[in-house]
Amino acid sequence: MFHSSSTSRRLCLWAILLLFGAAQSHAQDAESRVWPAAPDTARIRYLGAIARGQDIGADRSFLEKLWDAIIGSETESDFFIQPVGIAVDDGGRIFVSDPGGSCIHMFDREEQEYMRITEGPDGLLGTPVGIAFADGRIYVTDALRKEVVVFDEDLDPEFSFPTGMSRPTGIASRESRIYITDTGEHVIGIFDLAGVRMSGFGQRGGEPGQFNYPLFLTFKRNLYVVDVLNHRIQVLDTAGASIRTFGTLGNVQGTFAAPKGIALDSDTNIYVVDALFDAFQIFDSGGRLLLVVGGSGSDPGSFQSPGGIWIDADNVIYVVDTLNKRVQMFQYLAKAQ
Amino acid sequence: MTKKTVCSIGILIWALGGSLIAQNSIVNTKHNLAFNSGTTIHAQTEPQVCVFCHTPHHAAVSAQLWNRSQPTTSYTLYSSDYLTSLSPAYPSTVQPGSKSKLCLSCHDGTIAIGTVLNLPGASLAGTITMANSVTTMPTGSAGDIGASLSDDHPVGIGYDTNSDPELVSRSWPWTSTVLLDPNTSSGKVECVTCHNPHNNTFAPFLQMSNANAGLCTFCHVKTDYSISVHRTSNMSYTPPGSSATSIGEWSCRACHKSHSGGGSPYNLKGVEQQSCYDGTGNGCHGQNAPPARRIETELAKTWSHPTNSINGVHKNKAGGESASELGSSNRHAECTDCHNPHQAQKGVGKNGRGNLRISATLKGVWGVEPTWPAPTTSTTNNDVVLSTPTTYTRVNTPVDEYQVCLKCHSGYVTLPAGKRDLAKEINPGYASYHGIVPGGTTNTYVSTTTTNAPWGANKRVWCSDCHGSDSPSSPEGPHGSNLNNSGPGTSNVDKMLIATIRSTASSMTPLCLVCHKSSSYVTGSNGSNFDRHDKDDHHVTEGCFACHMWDHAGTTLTTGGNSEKLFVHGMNKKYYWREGGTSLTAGTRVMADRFLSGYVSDVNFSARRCWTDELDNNRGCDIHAGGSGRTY
Repeated sequence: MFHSSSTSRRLCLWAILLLFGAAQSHAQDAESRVWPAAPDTARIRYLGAIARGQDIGADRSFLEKLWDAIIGSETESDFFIQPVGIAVDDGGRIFVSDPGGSCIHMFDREEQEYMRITEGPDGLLGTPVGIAFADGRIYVTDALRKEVVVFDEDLDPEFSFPTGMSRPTGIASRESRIYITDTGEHVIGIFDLAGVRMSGFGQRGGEPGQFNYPLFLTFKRNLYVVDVLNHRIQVLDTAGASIRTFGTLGNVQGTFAAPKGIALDSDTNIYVVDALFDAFQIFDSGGRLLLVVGGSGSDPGSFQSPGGIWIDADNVIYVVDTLNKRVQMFQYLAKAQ
Repeated sequence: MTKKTVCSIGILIWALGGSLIAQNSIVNTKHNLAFNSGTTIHAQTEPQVCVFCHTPHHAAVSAQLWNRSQPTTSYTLYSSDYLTSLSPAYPSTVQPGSKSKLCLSCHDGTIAIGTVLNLPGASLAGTITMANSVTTMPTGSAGDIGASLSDDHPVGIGYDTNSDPELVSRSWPWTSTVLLDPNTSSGKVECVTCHNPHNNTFAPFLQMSNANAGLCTFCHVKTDYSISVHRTSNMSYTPPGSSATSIGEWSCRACHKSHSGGGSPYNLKGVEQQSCYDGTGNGCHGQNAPPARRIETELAKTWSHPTNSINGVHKNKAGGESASELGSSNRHAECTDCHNPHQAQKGVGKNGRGNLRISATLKGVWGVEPTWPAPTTSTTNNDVVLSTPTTYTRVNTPVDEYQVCLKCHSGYVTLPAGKRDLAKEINPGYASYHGIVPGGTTNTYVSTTTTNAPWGANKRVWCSDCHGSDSPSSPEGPHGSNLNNSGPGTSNVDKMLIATIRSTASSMTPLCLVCHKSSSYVTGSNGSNFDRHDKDDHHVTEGCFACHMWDHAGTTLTTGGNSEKLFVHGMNKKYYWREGGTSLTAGTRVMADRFLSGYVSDVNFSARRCWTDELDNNRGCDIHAGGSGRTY
């Protein structure tokens, strides 16, 4: 049977992950964890987690080895401090923003390399939150410095631009436009690739098209925005006109308490991470609840205050498990073609 | 909660509108997250202020078109060497309670500030400073920000005064605004212990005023802190973004930052010594401080304690580190190895110290007291046999400065190659004694006539009397010196001396003359036993070392491979000098205890005769040698 190149690359990446995932004590059992549990059709399968560079086979960096030599012992490194945002590029490199550590973590599973980016073109990063890819570059919002820092594909800082925003957080790209959420002013700004603001939309309020502390956003033809303190998801067109909104405040399945990250799979199902539910909820494109995955805890498939989410072209779901200091990965088992 | 209940509450709130819009109401704070905050609340169409945290139960449950299940576990958050070294051990930190997780659901850097930088205007780059321009935090170092919340005040941690005696003793339930969650002996510190999310009277949303660090000291009580220099000082201090106050009032906050200090654990402002330096412009002990307080530049001098260069090794254990944690490759020197910032008191300086034997700046640090065996005489000559202490006793309250120094500079630890065992050198049982340790020989010629104040008869000599800064305007103490000190009999230069031992015929040996008066030993012989110290013929390029301390002919004092020939701290060798007589055997033999470097025989001061022999066979100094002596 002929395997597509992306599938074989995915299998290769997971082989690497499993080989070096020995740190996961429940690796064997966790591999078979699915949601929903049998006898329902499995839709989501647990794949693994990344907590440190060694989990992808990355060797300790030179600086770490030097430090071990100085202090005369090998210490276990804690990589994540308070990770929130995540994005995975076409090459499979995982980028995790860490406002607690004022850095970006990069895991390259193919090259088995880990890198921590702490500086932009003009100094240390402040509070990096959102990550987007555009034009071969990596755009990162820095909520503290109120700017966007841009890296080239070799991860060297290239340039940065001020956003003029109170608190830039979520960022997403579409063709040659960058959409950035201003959580503090409840608007979404549209910038070109050089960082010039073209237009924007939104204001504070509860009507469709209005926001109350919006956060992460993502594109899948339309724009999907997490309207956090209105406890809803808004689906908008590229100009900001409302298409659909769904969700209410609550503490049961299907409602939202503290929605954070949003992503869509290849079947346009909408995945919303909720930090207070310690889970992510899957809705269909119409906003009907399909499945809740997660729960409080630290074992595989449980979360502690999860944040951002990303789904790649192979329907691999990456969720930032903030207080467990790891990224967990799942597979959406798409319907057979 | 049904729409009807929501409606009812809405009406109720509206009815109480007047009393709600009160000075300390949540409505007037940043925690009013409603999008129409500030306007009159109407029922039904607008959300209330409370629901963002007090999530109402939603009666209608959406059915999942697919299904799910969930397990749970817990994990540790905050830990430190101090907590794990307490006896009994401090109870482990548990996962934060639901209240803290609620706070964190917004305060993670996305909706609201996460790593809560509570100093407006302070840049992040200034908060986390690194030694030696390292921009990546060395992993594993004590300053490495480890677990996500470990650089914040711990939450999910209990209150156990039995384990940690430096917590204020209380009985439950507490009747204060500061409370554990739950308010019982097994309750934990959570965000709500220090913060009241509804009330911003004490910004930022504190349960009580933190003036004079009142909130910190509600729980934390450090031994003797109330009389320490950091607590009592009224030296002006301006915290960034706040108005000027004093170091004493700012108190704990001068060094500790409850959230994301940069120096973890212990919520310090900076990594290790960086907390003492303070990059804010107040200077503290950093490079911007006035000379009298400036330690950072001292430690950057050529010869200095490696405080700035060795990081991440020190362990802040209750009761201090073990010998193995100070020796071999663990050798280090943090500020806190010699100073306890909670107990340190103002030093009085050399001139005012009287009979004091240790500076008040060293209060609260431990040291070691050596026990030497009784001195024995060599069987081949008259020397006292070199000996090392048989035991070292840890001392929690040192009474002598050397006790602090010896914990690293002696055989108490495993010394790396090339490092001297000072305990071996300062043994008070040796023939010549420099007054460092109590109990050595008395030299009647050491008096206020021959030595400068504060030294004199029976006065203690401190290590820091010789080892310290080369600059008189710098603080006293062995922090650093730029003086290059290669001198006679020594090739090593790294002695961190306050004056050089490089000697000349004109200025003799400057270091000796710090204590020993020039009028007794260079320009005159006032009070000295030898009334020819002032003779120009005795002023030679080796300075004082021509006759004292330098082992010209004999074996070297080998300590750890060091090939020094200068016996500065004490000298075990005994040479004789005799009064009267004309030959080597006649007359009274007296043991030399003045660091004399060789035999000076047949000295007759009244007859003015001096017969030097074996002082230095090969160097032409034996002017007065020869069979018949020589009168002069």
